[in-house]
Amino acid sequence: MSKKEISEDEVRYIALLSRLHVTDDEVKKLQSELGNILGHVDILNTVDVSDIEPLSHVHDVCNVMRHDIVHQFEGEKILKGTPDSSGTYIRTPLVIDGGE
Amino acid sequence: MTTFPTTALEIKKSLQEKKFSSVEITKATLENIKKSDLNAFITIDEKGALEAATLADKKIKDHEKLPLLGVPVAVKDMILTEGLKTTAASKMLSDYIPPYDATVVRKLREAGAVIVGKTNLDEFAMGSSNENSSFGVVKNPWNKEFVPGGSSGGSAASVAGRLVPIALGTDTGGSIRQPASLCGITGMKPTYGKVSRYGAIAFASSLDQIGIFSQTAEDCALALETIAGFDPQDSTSFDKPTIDFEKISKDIKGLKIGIPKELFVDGLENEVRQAIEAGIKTLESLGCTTVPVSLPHSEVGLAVYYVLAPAEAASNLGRYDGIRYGHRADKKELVELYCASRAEGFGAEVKRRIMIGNYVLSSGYYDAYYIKAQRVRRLIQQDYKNAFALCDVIAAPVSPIAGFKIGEKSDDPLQMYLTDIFTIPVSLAGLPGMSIPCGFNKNGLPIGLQLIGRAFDEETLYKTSMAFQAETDFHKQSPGI
Repeated sequence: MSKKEISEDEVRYIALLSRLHVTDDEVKKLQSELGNILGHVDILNTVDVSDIEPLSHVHDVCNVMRHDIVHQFEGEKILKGTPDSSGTYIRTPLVIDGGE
Repeated sequence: MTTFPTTALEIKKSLQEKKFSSVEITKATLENIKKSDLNAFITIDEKGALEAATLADKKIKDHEKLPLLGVPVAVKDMILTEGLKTTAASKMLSDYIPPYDATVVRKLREAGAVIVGKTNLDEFAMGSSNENSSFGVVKNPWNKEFVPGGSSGGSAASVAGRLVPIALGTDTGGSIRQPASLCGITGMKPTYGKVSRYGAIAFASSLDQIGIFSQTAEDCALALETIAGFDPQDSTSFDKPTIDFEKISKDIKGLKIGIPKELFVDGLENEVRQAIEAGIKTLESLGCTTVPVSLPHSEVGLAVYYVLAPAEAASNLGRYDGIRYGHRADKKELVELYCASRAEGFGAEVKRRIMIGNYVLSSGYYDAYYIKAQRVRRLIQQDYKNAFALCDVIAAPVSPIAGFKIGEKSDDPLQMYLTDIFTIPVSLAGLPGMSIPCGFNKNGLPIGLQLIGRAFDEETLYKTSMAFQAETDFHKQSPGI
């Protein structure tokens, strides 16, 4: 099992895709850990999968339909789980300032 | 001091015979949980439990019959409970109050169960040792220097420590079976789709299942059949007839037990191998025959899992953005707010898996990793189909080692992942898997035997485990705390 080479830039790029702030120390650590894990994953290349369809669901299933009926939650209950709210709304920091 | 019964069936009997009231048993349970130093619980619901117990006592007086009437139950803190904090052991959700009950929780309440609290786990169910919890490590009741296994470590420790008769867990790659093995109790991950996942916090949706920890196979069957069944809220759940464990024959004469040669590999500890082989001998003495089977793709199961599970997790955990749920960092700019909220809210293992997931899903790697893993997953499923043409149940180890110390593997993620090599392929194939105690190592740590069944054939697993437990007393041993 060989370690996969992953660059620091790749780690930073994946962290951005993941919306995760990473410190320089974390980048170094993740570079090594991800390299080890993905190195192990490379064992998949030893398996012949030509003619094998990808499996996304373990049972034979079909679409399950239901009537489009609205079930109303009490707003207050839902807002208990949010970081910040006002009235029946989730409050967020200002993301578009109106210009000076 | 009063001695209370410890299994669900014994508790039910004592309640029916009016030896105890549910309030008495619940009060004792809450006391024991508070006194315990296992750190098995994140939240204790004293008020809710006593209300449920009072209601149960009234129903018992009115001669109502319900499957778990008056029986204390613990729920893994990965499963939503309306109005009761549900954290996934994450700083991200450390104050999260769910607006609804998971379907399994609703079913438990309808069955008369008394929910006493929420159990500790690896953050977002990612881990095999319960060391990745932002609420502290859980201790193994058999030896407090050792891990209880994970991710459902709190549920396993609470049953093994005789704090509750039944606890709910979730299992994505082994998170019920491995801690059941390390804690010396009975644990069942049912077939994918037997139990509704509505209200279970999503980790890897094509693998996640809710299941049961208990001391005995009978209690496991009772509780699992109570929470099983089709749920309109989970389109991946199935409608199958409920199994009445009291009507299951314990006669397993002629049952064919498949022994996969690939599962008795080098990394398997000698004492574990001996206990598994002795367990298989016991099954033979009860009239089972053994047949060799082959699961040739088992060795790549771990690799398949560490592509698919992180990929699904990376997508599922995208919802924790600091806006709608949980922790929000103090930042003004939007992307900065996302990145900082998630960096502060998630622990190291969760971040690692999100990173792996997004790596394998990212442009240029998608076919090489994700699609490839899905193709190999089909081969793994096919292996089991071929094996079950020759046998009724497969017997295997649960964990390659009897246990490990707190801190022993926490610095090496890959070594930690390798403790799940025997449970992961079963999850990838969506099959039911059960862990039952089959021995102890020389240091007194329990060892579990894994029984694997055909899809939706939990009945054969109940039958086999009940017959095994009628013949052995490993499941009756208690750590004595």
